Amino acid sequence: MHTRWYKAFRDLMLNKPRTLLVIISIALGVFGFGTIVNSYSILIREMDKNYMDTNPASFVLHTESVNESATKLISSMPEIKDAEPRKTVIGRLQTGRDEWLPIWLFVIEDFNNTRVDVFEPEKGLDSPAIGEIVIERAALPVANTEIGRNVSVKIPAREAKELKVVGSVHAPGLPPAWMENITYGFISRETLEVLGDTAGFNELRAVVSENRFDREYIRSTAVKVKQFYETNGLSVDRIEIPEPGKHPHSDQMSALLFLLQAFGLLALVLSGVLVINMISAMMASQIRQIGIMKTLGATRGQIIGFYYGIVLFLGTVALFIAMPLSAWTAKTYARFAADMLNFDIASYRIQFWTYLIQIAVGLLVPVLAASYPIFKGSRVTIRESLGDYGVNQTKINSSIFDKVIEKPYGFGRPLLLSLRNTFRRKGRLLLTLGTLTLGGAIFIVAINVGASIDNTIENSFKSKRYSIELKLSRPYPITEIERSIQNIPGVSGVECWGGAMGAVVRPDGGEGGYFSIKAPPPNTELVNLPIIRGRWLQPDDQNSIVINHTLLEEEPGLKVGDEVAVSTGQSNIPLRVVGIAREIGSKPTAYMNYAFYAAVFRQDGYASHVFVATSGDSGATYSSVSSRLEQAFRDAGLDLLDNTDILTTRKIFEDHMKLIAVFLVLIALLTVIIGGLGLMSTMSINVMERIREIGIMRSIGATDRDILRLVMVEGIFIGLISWLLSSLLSIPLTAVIGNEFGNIFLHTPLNIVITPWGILIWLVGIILATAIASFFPARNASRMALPQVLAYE
Amino acid sequence: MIQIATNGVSKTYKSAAGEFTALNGVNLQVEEGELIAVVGKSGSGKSTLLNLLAGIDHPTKGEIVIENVPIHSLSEGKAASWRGRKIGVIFQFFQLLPTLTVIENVMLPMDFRNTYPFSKRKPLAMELLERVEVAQHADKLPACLSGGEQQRVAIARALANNPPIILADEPTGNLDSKTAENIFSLFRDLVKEGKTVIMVTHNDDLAQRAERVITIKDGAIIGDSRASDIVYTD
Repeated sequence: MHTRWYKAFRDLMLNKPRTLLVIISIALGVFGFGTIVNSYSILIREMDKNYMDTNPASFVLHTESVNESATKLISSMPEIKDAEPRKTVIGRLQTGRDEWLPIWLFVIEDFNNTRVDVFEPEKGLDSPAIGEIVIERAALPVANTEIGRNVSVKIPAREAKELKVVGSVHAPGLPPAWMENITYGFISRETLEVLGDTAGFNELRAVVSENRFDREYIRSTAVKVKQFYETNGLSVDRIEIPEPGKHPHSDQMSALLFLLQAFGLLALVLSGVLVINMISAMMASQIRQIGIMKTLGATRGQIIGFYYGIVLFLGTVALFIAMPLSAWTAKTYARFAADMLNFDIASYRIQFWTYLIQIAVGLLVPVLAASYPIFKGSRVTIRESLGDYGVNQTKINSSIFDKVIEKPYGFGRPLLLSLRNTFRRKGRLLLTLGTLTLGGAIFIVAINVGASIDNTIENSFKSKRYSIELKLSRPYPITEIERSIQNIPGVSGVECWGGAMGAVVRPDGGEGGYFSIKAPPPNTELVNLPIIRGRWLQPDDQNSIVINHTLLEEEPGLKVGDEVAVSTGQSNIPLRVVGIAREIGSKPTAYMNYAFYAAVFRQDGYASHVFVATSGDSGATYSSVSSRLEQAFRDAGLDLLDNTDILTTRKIFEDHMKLIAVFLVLIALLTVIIGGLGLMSTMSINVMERIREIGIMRSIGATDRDILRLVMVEGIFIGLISWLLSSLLSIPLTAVIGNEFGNIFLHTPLNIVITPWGILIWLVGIILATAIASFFPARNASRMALPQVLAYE
Repeated sequence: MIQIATNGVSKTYKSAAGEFTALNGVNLQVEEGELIAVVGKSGSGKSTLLNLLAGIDHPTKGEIVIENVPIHSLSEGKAASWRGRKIGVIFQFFQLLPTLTVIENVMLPMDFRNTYPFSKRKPLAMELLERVEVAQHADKLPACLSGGEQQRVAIARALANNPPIILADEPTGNLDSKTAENIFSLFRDLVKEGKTVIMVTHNDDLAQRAERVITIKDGAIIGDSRASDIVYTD
C-alpha cells in the first residue's frame, strides 16, 4: 500500500470525533434516503400485490337480482375474466347496551369458490353455516367480539338476530375497520334470510380480461355488459367502477410516500451541506500538510485524488452503517404501515436497485459535497500553506457589512470579538447557517404541518354544529321523528334532512361512483360548510347543488356553473353546481334544498337524516344522548341505520392521521440531530483555527471562563441567526408541503397554520444545541496548556 | 558545469498593505557540487530565493534554469513532478508529516514520484535513515524524536529520490549548536558526493564554513564570496 494511504488512515484515526462526525453526516443522508427508497419498494410492491391478489372487481353491476344463469352468461363474454354474484347489506352490529356500529355484510354465494374480491381465511372456520358469520380480522376488535361468541346483527327494517362468530378472514381490499370504525362480516345467503332479507343477490362483480388498469376500457366493457344484460331481459340500476388497481387507502400511502420523499430529500441536502462543512474542517487542518506533500513532489492531481480517496473511504464506511440501518427501519416502518392499513407483507425483500441508489448517493453526495473544499484546499500554494500559522490573517474591514460589525455599539470587547469572529469565515458561516437553517426549517415545518392538519380538522368539524348524526334505513315522517326526540334530555336542537343516493351520468351512458345526496332545511343552523368556490344554497334555489370537495375528487371535471345529469336510480335529473364546499373526512356528497329534494324524490315531509345538537359537548353527554335517541327511535318504530356522534367521527379521522404524526415526529428529531452536528463541526474548526489566538488572549489575561464564553457566545449567535432564517423559510415551505400533503391526503389544501410553538420550541432547541455544540470545542481549547497553545501549528 | 542559473529574477508580492518586492533582479549561477550559504537579515529575500529555486513560487520577472529546465515557466503540476525528482527541500521546522512514521515519511516522496519499484522503497528508505543515523527510530512517529533527529529524518526524506540539488531553509535554526554542527557535516558529505547544497542560514559560523556565501539585502545580492581555501576538518 502506498505510504500516503497510511497517512490517510492515521489522519482519520488522529481526529476520531471529526472522522466519526463525517461518517455520521454521510450515514444520516444515506439512512434518510435509503429508508425512503426501501420503504417505497416494499410498501408499493406489497400493497399492490395484496390488493391485486384479491382479484378486485373491475366494475360492479347493481341490479334487481343476479341469478346463476346471468352470471354464467356474463362470464362467457370474452371481455370478462371472472364474474361473481354478491350482495352487500349495510346493517348494524351491537357492541354494547344501546351501542351499535355499522356492519357491512357481504353475502357470498360459495365460500369455497370466491373468485372476485377474494378474502383469505385467517382463523376458525372459513365457511360459515346458517346463523354463522366470519368477520374481517381487523374488524374483530372494533366489533368488540371474538371467535366463538355470538353477536347481535340487524339489517334495515328487521329485528336484530344473534349470529355466531365462527372465524376471521383477511380482506386486504377493504379499508381498515379501525380507521373507518365499521365492521365487515361475511355470511351466506341462507344467513341473510335468517336476518330477514330474502331477496337474493343484487350485485355482479366482474373482472375484465385485459386492460385491467384502463378505466375507459373498463367503463366501455361495463356498458357493453349492461346492454348485454338488458337485452337478456334483466335490468341494471347502476354501474360502479372502483379506481382500477387502487387500494382504498392508496391515497394515504401516497401522502406518506410524498412526505417520505420530501423530507428524505431535505435530509439528503442537509447531509450534503454537513459533509461540505466537515470536509472543509478536515481540509482546514490539512493545509500545511498539503504544502509539505507538494514540496515533496506531489502534484495537485495526486492531492485531489488523495482526498477524494479519503472521502470515498468515509462514504463506504457510512454505507456499511447506513444501509443495514435503513433496511431495518424501512422494514419496521413497512410492518407498521401494513398493520395500520391491514395488509400482509409477504416478503420484506429489498430490491437490488435500492442498494445501487444508496451506494450512488453514499459515494456521490460526499464526493460532490467535498469537491469545493478539496479543490480549494489543493489550490493553496506551498508558500501560503507553509505560512499558515494559526493566527488567521483573514482580511476584514473590506465590505460595508464588515464595517457595520466593526462598530462597537457599546458592547464589551470580548462580546464584540465573538460577534466579529462569527463573520470572519463567511463561506463557512454560510454553510453552517445553511445546515442549521434547513434543519430548523424542517423542524418548524413538521410542527406547522401537524398544526395545520389539526386546524383543518378542527375547522372542518367546527362547521358541523351538530353532535349526533342519525341515519334512518328509509325516509320517515319528520313529525314522527321530531315527536320521538322532543322529550329527550340534553337535546338542544334537531334538524331533519332528506337523503338519497345519486351518480353522475356520463355522456356514454355510464355512471360515476354513487354519492350521497343530502337535503338540509332552508337556512340550516347545524351545518355551515366552508365554501371553496361558488356559494352555499339559497332558499329559492331549484335544481342546484353544492358538492363537497370529496365528490369533486371523484368527478374532477365538475365546475361551478356546470349542468350535470344525476341518476337517482329511477330517473336522471339535471342539476347545476352552484358551489364547492370543503368537508374533510366526509364521503362524496351533494347538497340540495329540501324543497327541491322533496319534489324530485316525492318525499315531502319525510327525512332520512337527523342531526341533533346537544346542550353539552363532552363525550359522556354525546354517549348518553346517543343511547337515549337509540331507545327513543326503537320505541317509535324508526329503523336506524347509523347513529354516530361527531367525536367518534373525528376520532376516526384523526386515527387516519396517526401514521403521519409518528412520521413527522421522527423527521423533526432527525433534523435536530443533523443541525447540531453541523454546528458542532463548525465550532470545532473555528476553535482549531484560533488555537494560537486563544493562547494569545490567555497570555494577556483571559481566563478559561472568558474563552469558554467567547466561543459559546459565537455559537449561540450563529444559532440565533439560523433560527431567524429558519422561521422565515418555514413559512413558504409549510405552505408548499402543507398544500401538497393536503391535496394528496385530504384532497384539499390544508388550512396553513404557522404555529408559534414550532418557532419557540426551535428557539429553545437551537440555543441549547448551539450551547452544547460550542461548549465542547471551547472547553478543549480552554484546557490546553498555554505553551502548547502558543506553539500550536 | 553551471547547474543553476537565474537571470534578472524579481519577485513582487501584493497584499492589502500594497506591493512588496522581495527579490529584485537577482542574477546567480551555481555549479554542480557547490555548498552555498545564503545569508541576510530577516525579510531580505533569502527564503523567497530558495522558494523560486525550488519551483515552489514563480518569479514576477526573470528566468530560472536548472539543469536546462526553465522552471519559471513550468505549471504547478509539472513543477511538482520536477521538484520531486530534482530537488530535496529541508525546512527549519522539519515539516515531517505527523501521522506517518519516520520511515514512511522518507518513503512518501518515492511514492509520489514512483522513482523506485515498490518493493525497493522500504530498503532504500532504511539505508537513508542509517546514513543519517536515525534508523533505530524508523517505526516511530516524528513527535517521539528530538529536534536534531527530526531534522536528520527531514534530510533523509530530502534525499529519498536521490535529487542532485538540496535546498535547505534555515535547517539548523531550530537546533542546538552541536546538533547544528552534525547537520552541517551531513551537508558537506552530500557535497562530496557531488550534490549541490544551498542553505539559507542565520548562523554566521556555519555560513563562513560554506564554499560560497551569498549575502542578500533588500532583495538584491550584495555579496558573493568564495572560500576555496577553507580546509574541512572532520
